[in-house]
Amino acid sequence: MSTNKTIENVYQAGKNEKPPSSIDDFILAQAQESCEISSHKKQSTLKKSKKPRWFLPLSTAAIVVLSFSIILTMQHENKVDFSQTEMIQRSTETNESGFLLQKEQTNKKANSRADTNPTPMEEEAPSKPAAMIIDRMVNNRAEAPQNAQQKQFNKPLTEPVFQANSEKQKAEAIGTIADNTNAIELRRNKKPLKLVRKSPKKKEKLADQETALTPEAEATDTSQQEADIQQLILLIKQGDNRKAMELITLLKIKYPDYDFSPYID
Amino acid sequence: MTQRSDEQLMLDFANADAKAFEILYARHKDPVYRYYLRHVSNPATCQELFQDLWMKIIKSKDNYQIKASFKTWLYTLAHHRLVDWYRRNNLKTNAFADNEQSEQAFIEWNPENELQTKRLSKHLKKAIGKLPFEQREVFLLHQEAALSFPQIAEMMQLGLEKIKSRYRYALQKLRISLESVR
Repeated sequence: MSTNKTIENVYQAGKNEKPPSSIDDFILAQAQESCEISSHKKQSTLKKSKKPRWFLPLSTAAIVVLSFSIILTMQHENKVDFSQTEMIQRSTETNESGFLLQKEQTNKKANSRADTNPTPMEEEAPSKPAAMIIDRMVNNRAEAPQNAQQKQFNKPLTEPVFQANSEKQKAEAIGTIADNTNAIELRRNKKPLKLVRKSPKKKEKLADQETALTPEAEATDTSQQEADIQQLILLIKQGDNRKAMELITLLKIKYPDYDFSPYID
Repeated sequence: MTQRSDEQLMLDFANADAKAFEILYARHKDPVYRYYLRHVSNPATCQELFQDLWMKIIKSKDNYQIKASFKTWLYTLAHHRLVDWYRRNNLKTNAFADNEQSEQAFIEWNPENELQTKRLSKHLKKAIGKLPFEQREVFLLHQEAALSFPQIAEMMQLGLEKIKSRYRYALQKLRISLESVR
């Protein structure tokens, strides 16, 4: 046992070897360098960690949601239609030329079919707002003939109704348009021209108005006048002078401008 | 001011405290150097192994966790590095296979006699170099690293009795070699 202790003591007394100082310096320098690198890393990670952790995922999610919503909105708008915007443009154009368009159509109708009632579309087109027109057009899109009519209706009036070279021509044109519209309105009301027994003055006024306003009424009056005169001549030929004189008095009232003196003689 | 433990110094070094490493290195550099020197006998190889060990410690500072004492961890790394070196150089770790025991067990040694001490020490170091690897390993870990037998057993993952017997055999062989000197 003491021998073992002796050996251990001899060993402890003789252990004096040390690593060379060059190795010490090298190892300590390496340690210093690694500390600097790790401190740099820590600083960079601290700089990075200034932004909250949820910043990146949240911003990414927001971008994704926004882009999807934009795409969906665009798709929805495409469904609602490109044609709708086109119709809005057309309707605004038609509203601008609304009055002239209406006149043109009413003139056409008056010439073609005076007794038929106009379609609601045609009646409302100039006065209704554009949105309502578009809605109705979208609903009636399936009906092809009506669609064609709409196209005709929506077509902007590019050709002028007439070419007025002077003031006189303009005035004449306005007069004819006014006459035409009045005639159409009278036909629409379906009220036949009747001679009502009223006071002579009123009858005269009414006759004046009717003759002044309506050229067609004037034409009917001349034919009536001729018929009345034929009836008068027939009575004179038959020798019924009393009835002839009564008719002359009536016709004098009815046709004050007409000269009945040869029939009285 | 109380001294920081080895473990605390290593943690401080992991937190970029170079001064902590200096203290740690100063504490352990000499025993580790001698541990290698006794094993390989060649100073150049010893320096190479010694440098590799400390470089490994520097690199693995970020992964250091206090599972065992720093000294145990340090000498475990040193042991692995040494075994690698042995394998690379195709050297057998059991230089002496004989377990011959000497009956003579008496050395007259006077510590005050420096000349005698130097002479004995020189022979002892040579005798250590001739020990089998396992016995030399246990002897050096106990004498240089000042590790207890349980610590050595834990480090080498062997039974305590096996470590004790290895140490006992190592001493017997050293005694025989010193008898011849006397």
